[in-house]
Amino acid sequence: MSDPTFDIAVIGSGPGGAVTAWKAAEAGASVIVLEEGPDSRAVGRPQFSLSQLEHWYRSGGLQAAIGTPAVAFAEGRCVGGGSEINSGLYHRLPDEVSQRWREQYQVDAFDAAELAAHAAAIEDAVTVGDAGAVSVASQRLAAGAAANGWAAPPTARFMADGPSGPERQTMSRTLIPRAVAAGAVVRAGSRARRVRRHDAFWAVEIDGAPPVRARRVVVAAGAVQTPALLQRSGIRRHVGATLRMHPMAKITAIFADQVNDHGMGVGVHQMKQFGPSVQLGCSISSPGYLGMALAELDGARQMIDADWRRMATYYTSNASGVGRVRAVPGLDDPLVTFSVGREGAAELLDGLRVLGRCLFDAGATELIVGANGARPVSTYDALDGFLATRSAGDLALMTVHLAGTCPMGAARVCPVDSWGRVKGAYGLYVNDASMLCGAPTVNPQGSIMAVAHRNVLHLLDEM
Amino acid sequence: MHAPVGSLAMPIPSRALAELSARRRPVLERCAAIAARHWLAEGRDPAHDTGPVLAFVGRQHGRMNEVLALGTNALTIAFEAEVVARSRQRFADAPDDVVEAVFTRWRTSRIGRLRDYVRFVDSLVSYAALALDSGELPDATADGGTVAA
Repeated sequence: MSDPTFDIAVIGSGPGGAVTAWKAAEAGASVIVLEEGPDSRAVGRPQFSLSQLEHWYRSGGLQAAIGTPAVAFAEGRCVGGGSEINSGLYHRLPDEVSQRWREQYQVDAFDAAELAAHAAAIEDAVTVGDAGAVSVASQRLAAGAAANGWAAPPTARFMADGPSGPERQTMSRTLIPRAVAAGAVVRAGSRARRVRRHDAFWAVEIDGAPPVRARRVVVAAGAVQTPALLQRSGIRRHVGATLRMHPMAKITAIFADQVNDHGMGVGVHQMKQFGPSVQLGCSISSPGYLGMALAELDGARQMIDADWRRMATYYTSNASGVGRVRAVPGLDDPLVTFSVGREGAAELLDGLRVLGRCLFDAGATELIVGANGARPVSTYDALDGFLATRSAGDLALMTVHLAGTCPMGAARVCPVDSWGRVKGAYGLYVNDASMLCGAPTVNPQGSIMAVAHRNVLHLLDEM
Repeated sequence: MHAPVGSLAMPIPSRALAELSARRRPVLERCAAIAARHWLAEGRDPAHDTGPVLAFVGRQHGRMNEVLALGTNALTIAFEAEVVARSRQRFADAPDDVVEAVFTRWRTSRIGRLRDYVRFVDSLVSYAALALDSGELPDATADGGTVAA
């Protein structure tokens, strides 16, 4: 018996791949989803835990974009992808961002009204609602903002009512089961190495397994792996040349009273009025993460043991800088480089100043910046003085938001067209964070899913 | 890494890198043991209570991004060479105080990459020590179910 040829093979099961599989399967297409990581539905793992880090993060979370400074980054690698390991914060793509992308990259039919319809479809399918349990630490940021006349409203999340209260909605809980119910096959532990075009179909070459044949292939392996896979497949023009992200700098605050606890809840309050892409918020603050944030500080263990319930970590991020993703012959992992840029670094330092002012006004007694040579400071002037002596290279930056490595549009620099079709490769598509034309300036999962919804409907119209 | 060490599914350079990482792991774990002394809770015995932390560091080292592994292995070799030069003994036989002196010197080095190496070890150790002490469990259970339809 010959191997089946699927209508569509989807590489990756994160937000872009899950939307693609769901819509295609429900439209009657035969669909296979190839996920490199394990099946997250089989074993429950606590959110932001050591267990999750080891099993559901690519490379155990140990990845970085090379640069000065390097930017540590994290990606999900399991059924559901990044949706399994993030906080599920939800924003629509801001209209000014979609307008800029439409004009700069010549993206057809990318107006706000159409995107709003796709966003509404996602909100309905996955369920977007109130934030659920909000941490005290997050509320402190809102209080500090209010003391300065600034706003820090709570952000919506992918949430739905569950048997024991609101539950975060991930792809493995929502769209993947719907795709499977409609006939999609989800194959975990299947790493696609490259794709090759044969006469009437594509062959997806899988590590340690026979190739999978499909009439169309949708690559949705994330902003780093998607360009690497295309490059390994011989598709290189403009691919991976424009990595965008939201680099994030952090401050750990110590308050006079309790703000933290086991299962502290999620930081949902965000400040966004300091620039088109600047965002400030509250970060994961479990004892382990506090340890990582203060790893260079003498006596940090004793401090955390004594005071971790009074401590929390906050961030400022922007959308500055650009980088590249390059597949390295002979290695499985690509080389990722990134430069935050002088203006971007200055913006992050300014963001830390704003953050510091809010936190002191919210009752913080000491702040520790995530940077070389940081020591606790107890006044705003001391914080300002410390930051004045720091440069970009001193900051410990990280991100979980990567995008833009295969921007879509008719512009010459875009390797995929306005509907995610890889130029010059009939039947090959990109439908994940890679095809966004930049960093969306807000938590990107909602933007990825809305645009993926738009693009997969167009693909289905073509079939 | 994406396949077991030595798996034929891995490209040859990937396989060679995985084997190099495995050989360098004792050096990294000795550095981690030094870092762990600062990150154990009060009352814990560094000689006996660092096992789970070092095991975590070893596992993470084995799965880290290959490009980072190249850099980390290069720095590990440099660290080993400095210890050998200062102690005039094989690394495995070098006294603890020499290893600790080199690790401490790197922590405050003017060379950023040397500081980065110590920061890398400190970060892994600090995270693991606190996460494990706060009740998180390392979970070797593999996620199951490779096919669902």
